[in-house]
Amino acid sequence: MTNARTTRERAAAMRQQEQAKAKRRQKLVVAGVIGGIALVVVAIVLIVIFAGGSSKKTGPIALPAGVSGNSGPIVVGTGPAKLDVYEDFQCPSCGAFHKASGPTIAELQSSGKVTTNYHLVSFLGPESVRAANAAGCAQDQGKFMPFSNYLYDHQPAEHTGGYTSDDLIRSGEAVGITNPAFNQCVTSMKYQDWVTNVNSAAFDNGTITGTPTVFVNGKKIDNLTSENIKQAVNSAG
Amino acid sequence: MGVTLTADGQAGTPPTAPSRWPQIVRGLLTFVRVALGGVWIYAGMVKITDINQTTITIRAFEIVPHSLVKPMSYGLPAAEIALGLMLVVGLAVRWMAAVSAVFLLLYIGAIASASARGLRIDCGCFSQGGQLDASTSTRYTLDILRDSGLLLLSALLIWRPRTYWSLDGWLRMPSADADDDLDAEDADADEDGPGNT
Repeated sequence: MTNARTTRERAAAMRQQEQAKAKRRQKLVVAGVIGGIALVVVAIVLIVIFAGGSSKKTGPIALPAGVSGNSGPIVVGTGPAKLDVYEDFQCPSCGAFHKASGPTIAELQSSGKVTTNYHLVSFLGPESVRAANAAGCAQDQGKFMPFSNYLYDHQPAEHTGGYTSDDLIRSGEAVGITNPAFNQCVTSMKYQDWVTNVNSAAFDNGTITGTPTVFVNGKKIDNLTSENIKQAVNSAG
Repeated sequence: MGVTLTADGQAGTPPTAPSRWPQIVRGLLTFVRVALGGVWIYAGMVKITDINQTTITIRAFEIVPHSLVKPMSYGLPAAEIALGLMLVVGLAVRWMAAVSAVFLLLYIGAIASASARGLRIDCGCFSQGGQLDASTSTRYTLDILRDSGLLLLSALLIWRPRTYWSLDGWLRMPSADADDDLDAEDADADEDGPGNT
């Protein structure tokens, strides 16, 4: 009788031990899985931070002709009023804006009323970056304005991989750029760092949240029409 | 008849009247769990591989204060990926489904508020986000519909977190040869609790 009981007790104890062991093993596995997931996520974040994430390039970088500062705009014209234009070559409403207000701005420039700072932001994919880089190259050839106008007049649809190097070189030819240095500049993405800097400078401290955005002497034009720009420039001039 | 059985999990029917429905539902929910996890991982990866765009998108919503935009553009995708992985391995499924639902509710709220404030942005949930120009339509309705669909999937998993090939299931195994589909749902809640911590 006592024997039977001890056997039963021993069996129960063994079962308990086994259960405890299984529990411990389970806890280990759960901890391992959660730890593994945490590790994977942290690794991904670190890779992003250290590999591609740093957006601001410091130190000497290649800058297009006449640009001052690592995130400086392309400056067109000389005049007392200061016009800051933020646009992206790939943004359709920048194209519309160019069509509607381009002539007015050109007129203000040629009559010596305004200095225009073109901030070429590039937040609509690699095509934006390629186009902005090429515009920097065109600036070196003294053809920034015609090149920029040509691009907006022949703007590809968004997110369709437009503005290939070949397209951009052809656009250069179309506005009379013949120097092979331009082609080299476009294909090698000579001003990529500058383009990246211009973009982060515009967005990082919240100067703009979208394009096109225009400031006249630091004051944002809310309703972007050529009439409003002209008025602001004239009253600021 | 089988349908009513699954609808209220506490039908006291003895296992002598076996129905295939519970297994089918559980199979479908297994698919839902893995798919939802995959969607979260995908959404997180898209955001984190284009971190600058994510930053611009978060800023464009004009909800988060400036100083928090940067940390959030890293934290949000990281959280999404972690959530997705947890769902795929099937750990603490009910809790994770609840987190998923909360995220989706926040996103829907953010999109709705952006819409109500007349902001014109691309929600950037799966693609390049940021500010849209006037000519492109905003797709707010579509985005909200999609998020609502995902919310429904999350709700299904809160309702029935037990699925095949889940770590939760494996954790239950030794104690329960009662891996029985007709278990009362209350039991699930008890058992899933500890898995969360």
